[in-house]
Amino acid sequence: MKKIIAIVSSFIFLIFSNAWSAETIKLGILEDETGNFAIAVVPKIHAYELAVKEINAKGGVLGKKLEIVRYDTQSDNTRFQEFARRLIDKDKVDVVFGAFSSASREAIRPIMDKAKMLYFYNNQYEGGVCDKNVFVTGAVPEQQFSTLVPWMMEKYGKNVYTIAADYNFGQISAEWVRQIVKENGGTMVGEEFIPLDVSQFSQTIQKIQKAKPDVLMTLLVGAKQASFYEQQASAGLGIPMGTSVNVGQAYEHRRFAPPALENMYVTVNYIEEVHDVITSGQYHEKSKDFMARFKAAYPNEPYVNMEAANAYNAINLYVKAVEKAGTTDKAKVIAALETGISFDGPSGVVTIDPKSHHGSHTIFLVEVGKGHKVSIPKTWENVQPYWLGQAGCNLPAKADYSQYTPSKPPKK
Amino acid sequence: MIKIIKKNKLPFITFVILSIFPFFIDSYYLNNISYFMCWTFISLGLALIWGMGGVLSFGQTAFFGLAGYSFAVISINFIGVFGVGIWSVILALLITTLFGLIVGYFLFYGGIYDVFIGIVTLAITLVLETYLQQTAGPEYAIGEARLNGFNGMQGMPTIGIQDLQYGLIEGVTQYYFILILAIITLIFLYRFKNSKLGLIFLASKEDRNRVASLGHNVQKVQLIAFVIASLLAGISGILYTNWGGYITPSSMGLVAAALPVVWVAASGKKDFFSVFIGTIFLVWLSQTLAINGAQFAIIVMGLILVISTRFFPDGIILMFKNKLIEKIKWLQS
Amino acid sequence: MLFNIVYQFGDALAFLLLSAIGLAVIFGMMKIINLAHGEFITVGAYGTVVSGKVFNLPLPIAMAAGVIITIIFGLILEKLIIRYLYGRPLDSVVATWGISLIVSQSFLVIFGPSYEGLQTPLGNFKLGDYSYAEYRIFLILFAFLLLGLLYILFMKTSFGTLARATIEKPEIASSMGVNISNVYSTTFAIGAGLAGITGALYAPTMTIVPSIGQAFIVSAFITVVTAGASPFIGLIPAASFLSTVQTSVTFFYKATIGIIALLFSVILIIRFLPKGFSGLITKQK
Repeated sequence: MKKIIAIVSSFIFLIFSNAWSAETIKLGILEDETGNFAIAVVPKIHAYELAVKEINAKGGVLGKKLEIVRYDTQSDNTRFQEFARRLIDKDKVDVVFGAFSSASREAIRPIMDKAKMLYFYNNQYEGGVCDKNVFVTGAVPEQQFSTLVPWMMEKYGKNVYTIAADYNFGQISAEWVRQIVKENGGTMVGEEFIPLDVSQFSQTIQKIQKAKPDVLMTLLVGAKQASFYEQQASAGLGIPMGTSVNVGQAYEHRRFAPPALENMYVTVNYIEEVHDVITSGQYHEKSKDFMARFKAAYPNEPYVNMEAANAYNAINLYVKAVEKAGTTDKAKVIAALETGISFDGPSGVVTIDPKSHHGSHTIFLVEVGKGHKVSIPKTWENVQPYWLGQAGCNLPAKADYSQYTPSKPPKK
Repeated sequence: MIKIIKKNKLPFITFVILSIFPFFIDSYYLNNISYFMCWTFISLGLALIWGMGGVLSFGQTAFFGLAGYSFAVISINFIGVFGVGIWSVILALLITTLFGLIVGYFLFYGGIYDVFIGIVTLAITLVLETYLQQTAGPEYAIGEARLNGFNGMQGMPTIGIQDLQYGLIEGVTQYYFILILAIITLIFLYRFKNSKLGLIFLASKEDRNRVASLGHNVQKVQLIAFVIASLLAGISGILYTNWGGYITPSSMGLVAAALPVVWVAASGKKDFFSVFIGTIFLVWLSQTLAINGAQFAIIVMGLILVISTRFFPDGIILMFKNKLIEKIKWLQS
Repeated sequence: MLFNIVYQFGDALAFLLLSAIGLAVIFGMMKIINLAHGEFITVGAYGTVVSGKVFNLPLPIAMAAGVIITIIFGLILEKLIIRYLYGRPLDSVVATWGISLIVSQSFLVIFGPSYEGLQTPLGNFKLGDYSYAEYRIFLILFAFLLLGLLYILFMKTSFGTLARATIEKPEIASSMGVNISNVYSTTFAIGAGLAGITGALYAPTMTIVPSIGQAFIVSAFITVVTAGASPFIGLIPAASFLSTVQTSVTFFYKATIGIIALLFSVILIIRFLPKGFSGLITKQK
């Protein structure tokens, strides 16, 4: 019954929203409400809605209300392409937010660039997108790994083993780990790349045991590969693990029975436990305030992850830029964002780096302990997305539409 | 020509209606219909080998993907060279046809039949998908073109002659190009069906040994049909790559491989026109459901498939077509 | 070291066998191309986990509940849809694809994108440099036991003979007074129940998501097809061969190449052993 009411009311909302569409700013949202990625994406969708609701309650921006045009992309790249075109050609939105996986981002980026559409990608990812029309509010490897890896090597030892998903995200992240381990005087004692379809890890576990690493980096992606954690625990592997993907997205520490994730370290730019673990100071206050508002709007949300914070920040950064530009004209909003706009969000100030269009972050080191109890042994403030800018990406000076990697930096 | 029209009044009327669409609907819907029509070629190819010859292939997507990737690799390497948007398409289709010839030879001259063809072709498309997924590193490049792994390739020029500012990228040109290509394909398939080769192929579905004992080279006919089907899948692959400026390994995965089979079976695999309309209808339906139905979209899609096979074993579109022709006397030939 | 090799090989073998075991009945015997095989496994897994959580059942009983739920699910499907598809193997592709969409999406709507997992039962032990999960060794043994039982059921009992004869020549069986509809639905239910067992067994070792069954589907089809016309004879040699290829290539190169080698060897087996491994064995007899 509740579902029916929800559907009917959303139809009514649709009819009314069309009626005053002339005076609104249209935000297109493409997110995976269903399909493989739904688990980490649903809180993100709610965070967009929360941000829009709050801004509209304050009277909107430039005297206009914000209006969301959202499609469910079903974790399917083809859907992303279809609906990106629909948002641009039919709905004529002013900006697009969305995509979870890098593949879906890459599926719509050519369409955005062709239409010169302003696009916010709000997810942690493998880094390297240097694109005039694209802004990124998620964390990148230099923020997550240059903090995590040296800290773990210091604490546990210098022999590192990486298992990573055998595709772009895993391979590029592994490249980062390799580089940082070397810079810190450590040794890579092994590296294994695993196809996304693999769900059985006995052989992998044995290979790791043979190499005897001090630290295990697990850059695994998707529900199938997440089965590794239960299987390594039942085999009694017992090696400290580090990652940039788990806990902060699909809250495995809540969903899996202990001890699957015990002894796991992850760097995130937000998780909902921040204000429980950090008991005072600005991070406590900001997270507590954000969670109170979030839970008031969505009391049944199972978990508020870092991508939800990124989505919330993205809408606010866009609105600030529109305010500054005095218009929704895309080129002018991009110029405003390139002045280094910042927003004080759920985990402190996020500032857009003009050169690379990526955001700075507060990075929390999260430790998953006995019984999956979460603690935060260390916090790094204002960590910059430095790599692209240093490597030669300078978007205000030179428009670009590429993705780079450490082994394939921009041509100078 | 007149004879074909007289015999097929319904398809003729449908294409007349389709050809005046651009005067009535706006550019978004026109582009969307062009996109739906991109997928009809891969289905028509499958209808040819499966509906006519009883050869169920799950590997149409292998040719779809190979053509898309070949087009991308060639055109990126020769970007800016005169006419690359035309001859890279032809080269890509040649590569695809050659691959179809090799696979088809392996199948039909290797004595592989029935459901085993389905499994072998599925394995081929999954091998391509699995291999391409892990090609993210810079070492996986063909000339200037990086295969770019799971995230897929982009940055290819569009079909057409860029130097003359004549691309097929958008709008009415693309629409008519695909529509005319579809009409040509359908006429060709009807002719093939009624040719001697076509009749041998049709008969081979019932009993290939008996047809062979009559002195016909069944394997050769099967191979020819298979190569035509792979060429048609390749056309879809290139049109799709051109439409989105993007091609990924997942277009060769398990889900993608099952889709053409579902479209063809649900439409009515024995009738090319029904498959053409059915593919457009089903792609449209799944998109529309995704827009309006939220999380119930996929369930509704599944129900439609189950109900159509349960109650309309010959295909739902074919059933409608026959009903329509039965009701309206004028449509009968 | 030897134990280590046997364990790795056995683990991969058990996965292939258990993936294939339900499909061996439904596709191998009954010739239904069941693209919803993965969803049968999903039903078994969710049946186990949800009944365990809701009624607080101990794991073995929860697993039994999961299997029973899958059998009931299979029976209902058979009555509503599958029985109209016998003798139309290619149409079964569309219907079972539809079923697969409906089931996995319904699980998403009902249980959400993920369900709280179970802890793997039993402990682990150390041998040299390596430690092993006892449960995975149990899985290997159980896979062989289950296959042995099935072989006896379908090859040595009167029900088995009846089932095979009926599916082979339904008209003759019917004229001899066999209630063929009952034989079909019983056989289908056994196939569904076996898939349910697979789901129940792997549920405590994997992430519980609506797509959990899809991890099994490719392995299941390639194992059943390479097993050949008499699946219960061919399954063990087929799965042994495939897992040897996969584990050794994965060991020397990497997992992606292991999967590619696996798929290639399937193509070659079909080409050079058109009757599969069971054809090879029965010929030698």
